[in-house]
Amino acid sequence: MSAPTDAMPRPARSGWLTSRRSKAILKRTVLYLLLALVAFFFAGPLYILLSTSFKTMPEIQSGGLMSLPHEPTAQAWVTAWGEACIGITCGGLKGYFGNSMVMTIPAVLISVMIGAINGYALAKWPFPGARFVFAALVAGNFVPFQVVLAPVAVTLRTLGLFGSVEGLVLIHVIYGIPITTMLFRNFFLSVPNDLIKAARIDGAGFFWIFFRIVLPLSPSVIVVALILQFTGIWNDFLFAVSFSNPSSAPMTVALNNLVNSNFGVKEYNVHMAATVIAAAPTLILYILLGRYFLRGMTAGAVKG
Amino acid sequence: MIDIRISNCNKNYGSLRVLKDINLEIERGEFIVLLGPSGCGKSTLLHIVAGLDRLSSGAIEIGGRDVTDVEPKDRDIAMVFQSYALYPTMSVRSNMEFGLRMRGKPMAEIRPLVEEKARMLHIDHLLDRRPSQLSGGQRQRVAIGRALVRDPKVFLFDEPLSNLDAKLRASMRTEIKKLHQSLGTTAIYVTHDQLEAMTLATRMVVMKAGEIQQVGKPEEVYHRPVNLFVADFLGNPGMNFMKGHLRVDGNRVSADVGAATIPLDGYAFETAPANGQAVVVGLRPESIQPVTGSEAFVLTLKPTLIEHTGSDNLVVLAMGGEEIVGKFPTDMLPKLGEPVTVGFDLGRLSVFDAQTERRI
Repeated sequence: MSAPTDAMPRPARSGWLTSRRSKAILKRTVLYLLLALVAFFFAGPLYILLSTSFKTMPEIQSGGLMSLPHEPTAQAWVTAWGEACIGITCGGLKGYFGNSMVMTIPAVLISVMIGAINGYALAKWPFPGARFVFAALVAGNFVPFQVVLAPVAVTLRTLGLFGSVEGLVLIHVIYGIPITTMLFRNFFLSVPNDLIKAARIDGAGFFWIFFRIVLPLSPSVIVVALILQFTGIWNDFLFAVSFSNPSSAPMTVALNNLVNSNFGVKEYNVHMAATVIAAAPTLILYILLGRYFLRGMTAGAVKG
Repeated sequence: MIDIRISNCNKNYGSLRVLKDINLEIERGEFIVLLGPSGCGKSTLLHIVAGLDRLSSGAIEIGGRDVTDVEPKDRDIAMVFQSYALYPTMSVRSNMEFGLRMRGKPMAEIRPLVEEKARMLHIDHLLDRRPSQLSGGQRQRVAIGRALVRDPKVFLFDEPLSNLDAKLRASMRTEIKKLHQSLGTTAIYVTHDQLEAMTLATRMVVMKAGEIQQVGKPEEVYHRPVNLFVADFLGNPGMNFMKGHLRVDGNRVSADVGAATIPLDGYAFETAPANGQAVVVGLRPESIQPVTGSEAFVLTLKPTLIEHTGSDNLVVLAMGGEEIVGKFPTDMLPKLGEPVTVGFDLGRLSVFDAQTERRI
């Protein structure tokens, strides 16, 4: 064999680090190590949450935070869902989970709907002052919620909605509109104006064009808005703790009360199960719609 | 019968005057082409007729009815866009049905109508496809079909063929012409392509900077342009321009263009010529031909460049310090640098005042 082949080792003079193949392997190794580190950073706590929630209290007290449960039991989950004492009632989280759903679903749907219509009007039906309205809405995104707590409290009391789920829905809708409007407006700018004109000539009005032409083009941005709003409203603690009472409190408040109760033994397994229950809806939403979310986040960038 | 009347139409965007006092009357069944360079306001004028843009002052009448403040959908018009503007999430069939459904026509009547027009445009096999699955030419057919099923009083075309390749453009042009001949519906067609304008128009409107320059039959605008802009804008290669002065001697008028004196005895002056008046004499390349013997006016000039276009030869000739272009038949191939005798077709001359740039 006289002809050298690619598979043969290169002359020894150029060391292994300088060969192109070895460099690529090194780069890959560093990349995967970094990714593994980041993955561990996020998955580690989730692992501890899940494994602890299936342990019994004696096992937790015997140490071994990272170990898998010896005798897995769902008792902590049953307790967290239906029996744990939160404040003075001992009915578990299920009532508060219901409160959160009743608050989050309408608030998400309404704020996304209004944001879509606003964005459509701002992007495709320019009216005098549209730029000012949009600027004001953008500014609305930068108002820290702490600033508005007192005025909102007064407003809700005046409306007779203080401490009710409806009051929380109203506040979340109002403070969701700026971000959803901005999201939809920016997306709708990429919808060709000729489409709107053609539809107008064809006889369609403002809402017909919106529902028949524009919305069907926008599943990705709708998913982005739904996920952003659902996550934000479901996880909100500040408005929830400020404007709810024990009967209307959402999950976040209940979880805080459960974990921070100061009497008795700290039931870590129950706390962990409760935390997973509180995080589950947003997690499930991401798993179901995550593909569309990523697509939506990048769609505007390439369409131009 | 007047179908569309545009009266004293102005459009301003802030201080920018996009349309300046446009007046135009369009007879029923005419095919009007608005022609001009980009930014001349031709598309804006079309959008105003469609009702998609509001005018700053003036009035629009369609079919004897003042529609200045009427919504586009109530103007009985249909429009074809350069970008096709097909609804991307709907099938071809739904695209064509949309306008009629919006008008509350029962589906039992819409179906056969859509299928008939689809057959007419040879897109009946595409009815269940999405616009994204069609080629550019097919999309434009669908866009035309969508306008056709509505059976409107007026068709509006906004540069409908600009996105197509040259060959497809030519065949679609022919089809649009046939379509108009068979339907006889009034149409306004915007383009910057002079070939489209010349071939499609029953009358064309040449615009520049928001003003109408000339309205007339294509051959009239081509052969008797009212000013230098129109003369220069139409024709490919462009009209030859020779600067000079008029010489009026009794009844005899001629133009001294330096290298030659061109007799203008047969020229129909629109304004009285003055001795010494600075003028620009225009003559199209096809009116400069190698001599066959019967010409009234001949010159001997040196070719400096020859371009073969296939159908004829464009010969650049040195004339004094300037150059003029003649369009020679392919069998008349002069040699570079060897003088040839060419004849000017004096009946095709255009003479413009050098100052006002208007035809005289």
